[in-house]
This record gives sequence, C-alpha cells and structure tokens, in this order.
Amino acid sequence: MQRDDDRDRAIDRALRESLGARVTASRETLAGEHIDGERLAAWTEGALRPDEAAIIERHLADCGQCQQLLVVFARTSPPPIATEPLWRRWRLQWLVPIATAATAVAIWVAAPRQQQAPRAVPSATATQAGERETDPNSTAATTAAPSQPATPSASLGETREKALSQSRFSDTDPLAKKETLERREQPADRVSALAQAPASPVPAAPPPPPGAAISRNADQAASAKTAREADEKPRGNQAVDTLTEAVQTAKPSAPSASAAGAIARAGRADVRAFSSRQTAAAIEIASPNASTRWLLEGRQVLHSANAGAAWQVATLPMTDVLTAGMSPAPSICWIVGRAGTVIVTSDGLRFTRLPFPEPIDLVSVTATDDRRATVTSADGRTFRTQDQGANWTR
Amino acid sequence: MKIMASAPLDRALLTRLHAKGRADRWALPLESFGVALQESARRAFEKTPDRRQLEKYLDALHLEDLALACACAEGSEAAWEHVIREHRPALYRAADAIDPTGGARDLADSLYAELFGLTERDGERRSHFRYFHGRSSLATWLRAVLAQRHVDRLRSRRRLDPLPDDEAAIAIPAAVTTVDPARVRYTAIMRAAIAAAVALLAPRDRLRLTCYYAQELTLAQIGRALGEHEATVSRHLTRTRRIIRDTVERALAERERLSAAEIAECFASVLDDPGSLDVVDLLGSDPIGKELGQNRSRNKETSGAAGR
Repeated sequence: MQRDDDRDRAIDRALRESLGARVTASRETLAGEHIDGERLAAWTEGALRPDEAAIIERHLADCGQCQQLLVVFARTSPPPIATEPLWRRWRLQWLVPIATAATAVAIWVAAPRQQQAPRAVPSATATQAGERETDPNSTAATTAAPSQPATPSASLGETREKALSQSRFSDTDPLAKKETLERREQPADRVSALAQAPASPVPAAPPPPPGAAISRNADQAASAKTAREADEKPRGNQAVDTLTEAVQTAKPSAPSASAAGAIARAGRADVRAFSSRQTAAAIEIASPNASTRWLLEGRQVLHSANAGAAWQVATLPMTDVLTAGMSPAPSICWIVGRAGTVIVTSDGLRFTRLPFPEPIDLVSVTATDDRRATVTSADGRTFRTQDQGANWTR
Repeated sequence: MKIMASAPLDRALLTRLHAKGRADRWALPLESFGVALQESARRAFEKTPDRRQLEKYLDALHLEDLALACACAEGSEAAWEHVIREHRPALYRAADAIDPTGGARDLADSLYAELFGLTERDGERRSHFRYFHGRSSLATWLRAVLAQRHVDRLRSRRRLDPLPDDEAAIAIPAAVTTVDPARVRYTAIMRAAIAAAVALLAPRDRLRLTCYYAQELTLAQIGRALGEHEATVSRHLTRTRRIIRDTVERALAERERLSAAEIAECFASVLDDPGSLDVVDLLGSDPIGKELGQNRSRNKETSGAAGR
C-alpha cells in the first residue's frame, strides 16, 4: 500500500524536474516584451495597478529570462528587521525608565553626600558624631524637600540633628526609634545599590534583613554602622566618582533625564570608545587581554598585538567613517560606523562587512562573540544579531 | 512648460505635488517637476486618464524620491550629496549581495557614473535618473536596475561561451539499467499530468512554484520578491502542491482511466526514476548555491513541520 507521504514526495520531485525543464526551455523561446527594472521594482512594492500586475505575473510565471532577473533582485533584498513579541518589547520599555529613574535618584542621593564629605573627616573623636550628623541630614533633605536637592545649610542641619538626637535616644517611643534606625541605615545602602543600577537594572545589593534593625539597640547599631560605613566608603565614593564623571560629560546640575540617560549608558562597555570619539580623532579598542588593540581612524583600522607598541593596518572592505567598536575576545572585534556600517573580524586583521537593514549612522556596539552583537543607532534604536548579521532584530 | 494633451496637469495640482514631494529642499523648479510627473503618467497609462485617475496615480508616486532624482538629473549638488549619503552604501550592499566576491562592484560603479550623468548626448549631460519615474522607491529601483545589469552581463557572457563538446557528453558513462516498459509509460503519463496541472494554476501560484523549484529561491526570498510573508509563501506552496496532486490523481483516474493500483504505480515510477540529479548535489561546488540549498533545507523542515 502506498503511503500518503510517498505521493507528496513524488509530486515534489516531479515538480522540481518538470519546472526546471520548463524554465530552461522558455529561457530562449519566450518572445515579447520582457520586464524592465522599473516595472519589476514597482511590482515588488505592489505599486502597479491590478491589470499591470497581472500582466507582469503572467509573464514572470512563464519567462525564464525574467525569472532570472527576479532571482537576482531577490538576492539584493536587505535582511528584514524581525520585530520582537509585544511582551518582550514591553519588558524592555519598562526597564529603560526604571533604570533612568534609579540613576536619577542615585545622583540626587550621592550629590549631597559628596559635598558634605569634608565635614565628616575633621577628627577621630568627631567621626562617629559627624557620620551620624551627615546621613540623617542628607536623608532628611532628600525626603523633606525633594525639589531642593542642593547643599543643605549648616543651621538647618544642626536643627535637624538636634531633633534626631532627641528621638534617637528617646526610650519612650520604640517605633520612632526603629524608624530612625532604618532611616539612618538607608542612604549608604541606597547609594551603593543605586550606583550599580546602570550596570544591571535590578538592584544588586540585597535589602537588609527585616529584623536586623529591631534586634540591635541604638548604640550597637551606631557603632556597627560606623564600622560598616568605613568599609563601604571607598566603594561608595568610587561609584559616585563614576557617576559624577558621566554626569559631567552630560552637563547635569540636576537629575535631568539627559543626565540619567548618560549615566545609564555609562554602564555599557562601549561607552569609552564612543565618548573618546567626542574628544579625539582616533578611537582605541582594547581586547580582554589588553595587549591586542585596534585603533579607528576615520575609515581606517589599525591593529596592534603588543599593547600599542607597533601598529599594522587592517584589511577592510569598503566602509564609511567608523565610530565605535568592541572586542569580546583577543581575535574578535566588531566595529560600527556611519551609513549602516558593521564590520567584524575573527582573526584580528581581516574585517568583513555585514549586511545591515538600514543606512543609518551607528554609534555603539556591544558583542559577546563573533556572531552575537547589539548595535545602537544615532537615533537610539538597537539592533541585535545572533548569526553574524544574517538577521537583525529590533 | 510643455503641457501634454494627454495629461491634464494643472498648476494647483502641480504645486501641491511639488510641496508634497518637498522638492523645494533641492530648489527644484516647478516646471522640471511637472515634466517628470507628466512623463511618469504618460508611461503608465495607455489611454488618456481622466483627472481623478491622474490625481490618484500621481498621489501614489514616491514624490520625494522623484523630486530627488529630478534634482540630481538637473545637477543639484545638495541632492547629489543626499544620494551619496543615503543610497550609495545601499547600492554597494546590493552589489555585494549579488556577488559576495565583489564581482558586481564594477556594475554598481558604472551605474553610479551613469546616475551622475557622465554620458553625454548632443553635448548635454544625460543622467540615468531620468529613467526613474517614481512608481517604486528610489532604493528599490536602484536595486532592480543593478540586478538587470547583472543579468544582462551574464547573458552576454553566456552567448560568448563556447558550446559544450559532444565528446564531453559521450565521456559520461550512462548507468546501465534495466528498463521496464510499463514504468516508462507510467512516468510519461505522470509527467504529462503534472505539466497539465501546473498549466491550470493561476500565474501567481505558478510563479511561486517556479521560484521555489526551478529558481531555488528560499521561502524568505520569494516572500520578499512577491511582497508576502515567508509563512504565507509556505502555506501557498503547500496548498498548490495539494491542488496539483488532486488534479493529477483525478486526471489519471478519469482521463487515463487507470485503476487505483496503476495510479499508485504512476507515483512510484516518479520516485524510482533516477531522472536528473538532485539540485542540491549540483550546487555542491557553488558556495552561494550551497548556502541557498542549506537554507532551503531548513525552510523545508520548518514548512514540513507546519504542514504536518
């Protein structure tokens, strides 16, 4: 008994043979007006009237010569931009404002801390008191007057310190004591947690155990906090420095959206290349082993295998001006540029140009290997490939 | 301004289209744009269109691209710089897609030179942009023109190629097989039935089949060429194959008056027939073709799974 699949396979095979022979035969014999490039272009865009389109289709269906044109034309079609499912886009859309808001708050909290830091230094005896004064002040300034995040005045700080001291050592209201302790512990954690926000939108620092603040008495908490702050200070300052640098490039005196955007971008690996482009003509890209480097100079790429001691011109396809790059491995480097330029090398020296769906200026790239990369265009859109440019996803 | 009797293009309409096409960006005179619009309409209509038809047609044109092409043809530097920035990279990408070894770059360069208007006639610079009439986008038109030139070059090379030697054909040893006359008959009947079934199809279905089986395009490429989604192409191919199979089975039963067993023999004869070589085998040495074959295999698996 013959299976159903066998009949389908027979049809499949017969079609391949008969249609192939039919096209070969018609290639030389079909006369009449062939399709020119203009009508083919209009037909593929669906711009012809129905009667015109019908004529084109009838001719194309039987004319091997014009089918050849269609085949070549189809090969020139740029790869389509695959759109991601709605839920995935929504998730990403939410991450951006959350990360932006987190970084804005980080600046807000960090800026007064930095300005008040000298006050906490003066003497060893005043250290504990100074620390106690500084944190509640900044917290109070943040929570009480969010529209005025600038330096709080000394008198205001002293007044608040008195009020907090009274409540801190008051044994009559345990709930107030607990709240005070929690408020005092928050800022350092918030700074360190939020400072890491650009690198990963989800806060990295875990919240303190709920019972921790309650179980300690006020003095124990104060001394433990002082010790912890002494440990955390370098880390916190580092984070603040990083943020400040990014803020300075974006000119933010207040936690504006542009400053927050600059901070959010600061967490990405490609930011160094992109920001250095603003100040210098050449852009240097270092590979993970640091001795292998690339230098972008306009349309040219130089390669060094000895930490920049000697440079060699890399072999490039035709490109536009190159703007940024990233090297996920010593022999792999992705470089992007204007007019949809994306080039990649797997041996460090010979670059291949990859197809890109739009001739737009690209400003940054992040890559994990020689197949997977994400590029960002000048208008802020991101395109991702997982097959070395064969397909791009927005 | 030359007004054609067949194209009732009044000034108000022309002004509106001029503004819609943002032709003032290139300081393109109204008259030049009007000439381009009239030429486009003249080529599109065999009979004189009425005003409504004409307006509808002109409104559907890619007016911004048409204005850009006109401005380039007239020698506007700003327009030309725009083309260099926006379209030249795409043209080179298309050339690389046609021939990844860079063999089509010279075609792109020569087309580029013609667009600029290096050729002259009667002492006047002639830009190839004059042949763009705005019915498609400029980017698509450029790709189509490049594809046409590539095909033309292939054809001219083929004409110059020497014919294959008869001895070469003799040199390939033919497989010694025992020929079953009944099988030969069944195969012939089957092929005739399939050819008749294909001829009955709508042109678009036939074109889809030809693109897939004869031209070896992938589903995605067919989709892009026909303006359909890849999945739609797959679904249409499955449907068309089903129609062909039903038509063939009916023809064998009713016209050829074959029994069920004989019909089964007909189908088996196609499968058993050594026939021509598999296309993928033939493409083995060609990297592009090989890739095409691999893509098609993947697509086939996908469509097969979808079909099941």
